[in-house]
Amino acid sequence: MLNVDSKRMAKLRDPSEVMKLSRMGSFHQSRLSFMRILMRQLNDENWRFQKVEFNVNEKGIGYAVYSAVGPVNTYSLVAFAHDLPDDKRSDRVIADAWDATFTLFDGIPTSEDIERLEKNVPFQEAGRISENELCLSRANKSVRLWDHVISSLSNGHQPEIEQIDSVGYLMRTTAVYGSGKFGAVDRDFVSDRTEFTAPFQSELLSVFMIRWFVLDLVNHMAEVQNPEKFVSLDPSLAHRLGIGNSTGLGMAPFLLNHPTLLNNWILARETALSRVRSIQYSSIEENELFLKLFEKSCSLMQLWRSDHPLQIQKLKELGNDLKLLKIYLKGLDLRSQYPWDQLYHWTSKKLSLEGQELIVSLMIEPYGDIVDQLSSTMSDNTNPYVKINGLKTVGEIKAQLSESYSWIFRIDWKKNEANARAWYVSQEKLEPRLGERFLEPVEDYEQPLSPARDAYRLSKDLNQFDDNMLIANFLMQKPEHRHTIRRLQIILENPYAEIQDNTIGSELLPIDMLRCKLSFFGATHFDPRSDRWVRICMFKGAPYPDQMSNSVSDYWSYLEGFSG
Amino acid sequence: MKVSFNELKSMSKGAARGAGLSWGYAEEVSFATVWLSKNGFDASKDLISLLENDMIYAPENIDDNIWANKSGDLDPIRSGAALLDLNISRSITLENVFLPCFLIPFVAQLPKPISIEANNFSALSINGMMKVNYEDLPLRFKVLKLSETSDKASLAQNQISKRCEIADDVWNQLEEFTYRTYAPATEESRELGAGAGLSDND
Repeated sequence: MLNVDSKRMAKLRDPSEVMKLSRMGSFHQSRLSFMRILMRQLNDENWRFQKVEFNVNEKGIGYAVYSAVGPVNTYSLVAFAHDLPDDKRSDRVIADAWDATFTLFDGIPTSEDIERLEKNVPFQEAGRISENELCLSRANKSVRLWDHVISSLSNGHQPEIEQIDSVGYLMRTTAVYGSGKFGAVDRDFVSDRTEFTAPFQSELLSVFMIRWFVLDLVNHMAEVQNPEKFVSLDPSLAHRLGIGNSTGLGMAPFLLNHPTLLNNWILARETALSRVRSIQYSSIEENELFLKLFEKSCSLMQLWRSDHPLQIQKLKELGNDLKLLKIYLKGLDLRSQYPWDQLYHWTSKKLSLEGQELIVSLMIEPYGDIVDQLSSTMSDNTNPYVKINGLKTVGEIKAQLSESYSWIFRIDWKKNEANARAWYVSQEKLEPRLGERFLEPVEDYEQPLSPARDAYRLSKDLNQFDDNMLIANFLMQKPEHRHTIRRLQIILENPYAEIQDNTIGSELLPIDMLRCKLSFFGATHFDPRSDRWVRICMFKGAPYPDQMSNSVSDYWSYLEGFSG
Repeated sequence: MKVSFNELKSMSKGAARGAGLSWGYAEEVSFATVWLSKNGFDASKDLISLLENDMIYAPENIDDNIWANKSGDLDPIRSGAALLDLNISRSITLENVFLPCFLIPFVAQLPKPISIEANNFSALSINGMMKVNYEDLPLRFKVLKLSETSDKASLAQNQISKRCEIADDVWNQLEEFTYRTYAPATEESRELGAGAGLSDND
């Protein structure tokens, strides 16, 4: 690796530092985010996109088909547009109707396929899709921006840029299901396709194409309203629009339920950071690119708005961080030895977590040649069934617990605050929720999403047994610890697999878990609606599928090439 | 109905938990059900029988070479999981195994070639592959013997279908088991809410 000093590699950050929810809840998108990986792949492989059919009437009801043609496979977004009354519009999982519903079809659908999908996709969870479909999703309008854009375009003028920027999207998805959900094909059957090497690529390909459909739909609806005066949305404004997403607690347990995957994501990013920090001398071009993207980030910060007190505070801190950084960067000689390591050390002493993690993402930006290859390590293709090594002894497991879970012993588990919450699934919503253990009758229904508490309970019980006893024998007597023993085995081999915080404590902010996951997707503009609900923006600044060409900037997420 | 393996995985785990199993054993049930389904055997109906039977037991002493329980039939999940926990390579005799089909997925994970023998039945496991005629598997084996074998036959992976076909009524029964793991809505939980609470018409 050019310039990387392999004899003086910066150490990977310790899991005890990285895997804290406050830090994970401050992550930003980077070139290892899945949207960025997807765009590079589509660009490198010269994917072609076509609008195959657009059958939407003047009321906004109908369907459209868009195809993505790669070197080997073709996928089609089948979109259904609906006329949704305002009182039916809800981002929550209890909704049963949406402004638009979608599926990603494997290949090109026949009219019989469309007929079948039309009977199922609009009903989302209440319908069924098949092994010919990869994803199921839906979206709702941002009513205020939609209305503003329609009224502007139908009256022959462009919408206000401020309005566009203040919302950032015309529609927001409220779920994008893949991996066998509701009958879709299992990931195992498509994971060997090159385009799906990195995680969540089919889901994000759906979203990338949904953004195109939404642009066509808004232009179409403005045109039918006033065919004489209508103008279509200016491409430079369309470019600033992403697709929103509204996400609640349903997503939060994902990181707990997929420890190996979480490890692989974090490990890739930490490895990238370590490599960049180990660069002895950076080039003028690399420095200029970094400084340019830093400037872009400062302007993009101005577009990031939130009404939530927690995020308002974090944005205030980030604003302050950026001011400090500007001063520091003026004085820092990026041509000196180990410039990124110097910058890293300064930021970890002087900046808030938001600022520190922004710099981590920015520092790795100029180094595609030593970073991008890590994207192929971010999926989890190991056997999902982890067999327990019952030949270990009680003593060995105790030693491993005190090594891998030392932090759980610093929590006072006798206190109610440490056990304040319980994750459960409600009959009403069939989705994970977070209950108040001491205020609601939910404990009997608790999901196994409290690895810290469970590991603590395991350690207490292990103390009652002989150190030489085999774990296989221990588990015959204490089967309630079986899932924790299995998890411990995974954690031992995957240093970044466990969130090192209490996920049932009174201080827990589920939005931190959402932010971590969504940052790896490549989301921007995190706007929490509460401590357990967040809105974000996806693909803002990306080219539209029909604009894909070899000149697509790798830095589209910084609105590269557009005045900010 | 046709379901994906991921759906079968979640449903069988939820159903097992709903039937009162620990989370760890629920994971084992889910693994075994999906493994059987991927290997061409729909075990969903048997899974209902397994979950409804609360008169099955873990082996009393897994250090013995004969695994049994005086109280009644052996639970194939707890027996199978224990075989795998111990990475068994010695010969083991299991007495009165209920629904032995659920033992097969665990034996197939053992690293050494294993032969399974019982009355009018034999099977062979090599490198995660298993040669079994599932139709020959009874509700219960009085005596089942596992032993290491030097057989070097090569077994081919079955062609995996992309779907599992499961009878609607069986799927509904599994849903009923899973439903037991869901908390009933209460006034408290409605008031505390999922945390959205804002208008989405903006």
